Amino acid sequence: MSLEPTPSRESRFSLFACCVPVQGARRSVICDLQRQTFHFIPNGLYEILTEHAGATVAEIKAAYDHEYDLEIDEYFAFLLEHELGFWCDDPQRFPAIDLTWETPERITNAILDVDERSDHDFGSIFRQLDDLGCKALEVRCFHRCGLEEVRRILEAARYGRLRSIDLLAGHGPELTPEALAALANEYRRISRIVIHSAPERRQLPPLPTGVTIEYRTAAVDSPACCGKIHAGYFVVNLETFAEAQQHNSCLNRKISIDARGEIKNCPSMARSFGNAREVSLHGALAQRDFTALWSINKDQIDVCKDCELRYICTDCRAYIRDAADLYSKPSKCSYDPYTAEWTSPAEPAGAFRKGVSP
Amino acid sequence: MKKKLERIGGELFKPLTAAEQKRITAGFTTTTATTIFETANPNPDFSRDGDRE
Repeated sequence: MSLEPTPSRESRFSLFACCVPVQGARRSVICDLQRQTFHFIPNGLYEILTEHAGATVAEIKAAYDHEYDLEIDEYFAFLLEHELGFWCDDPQRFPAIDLTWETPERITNAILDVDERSDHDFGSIFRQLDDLGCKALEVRCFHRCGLEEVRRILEAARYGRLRSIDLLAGHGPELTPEALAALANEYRRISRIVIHSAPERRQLPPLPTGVTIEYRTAAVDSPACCGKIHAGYFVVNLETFAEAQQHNSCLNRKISIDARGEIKNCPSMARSFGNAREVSLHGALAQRDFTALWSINKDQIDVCKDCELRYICTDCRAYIRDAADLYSKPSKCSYDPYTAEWTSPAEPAGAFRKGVSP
Repeated sequence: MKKKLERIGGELFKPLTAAEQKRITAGFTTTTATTIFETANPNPDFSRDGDRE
């Protein structure tokens, strides 16, 4: 194994197992799942890494009739510079990473919407989420909140199994940076706090525990804020990448309770599986259709299936281009994989992504 | 058919800038809201949802 820029004549290039190439219509990417980043590459390099995997450089150059010797040398220099692979004599001894995805939890993430008219039994909801194994919760308060109200929600989750809580709340005079920092220190499951409808935009330095606190001026006053596809929301890690191979990267193992208590796949969806006051989360989950959307993966979605970013994208099945076509592209995605251009570079991202903390 | 091998230094392969990846918030709107419909049940009961109790 060697990271030397000049290989021996018989050396063959092997990508690190955590660096996975994904082909798109116009360009490809290599997802570095260990460093949680990705690199755009030409489709020609994707072809070399897949169709000519295990070939020596001499063989590859010959396969292209020595028409692209310079480009091929640049490709391997690029791969080495970014530490995406190495030279070796026996690439067959470095098998591809296993992208099988399994989890013991019936639900891994949840969204709970709250507004001034909500009448949630937080204790009951959190206990049920615990029973289902839920790890991450996103609480979205669309109204202006007082500290006591936020504290009441968090207190209900204090002794539960949740590993992280992302909190979104409307700005109220009590939600000062000092108060929020104290809150995050008291309730250690909080991983992120975003205050919307704030008088000014402000990003506080992360707390020593890693919690980020942010004030935004825009109002997030309904579930319609969600579903935007933006580069800032790409998730590059092994778990998400593997999950996206077979499952929907937004809805899989997700359960949501909207502001009225309706249990749904996502609060933005119309279909309710019953009200949390009358139906248990287990009962809703047991209904035949509840898991139907979980298996719509990006390889099945129109346009997305040709996108090189499909396995790191968060997707959205609530806001789609054609409401009659379950497999149509998210309507809030402005990326065109056929030209590799964002038609609206300033396309704003939604307030939150899937309820799993970074 | 072999692909044309593009130069990797081209504009298309530059990494996203920090600004392009920055999470931003603005202009939330409901105008693009299109709602998904279940396939298993062609006539789902929409009389109870978050907007219509």
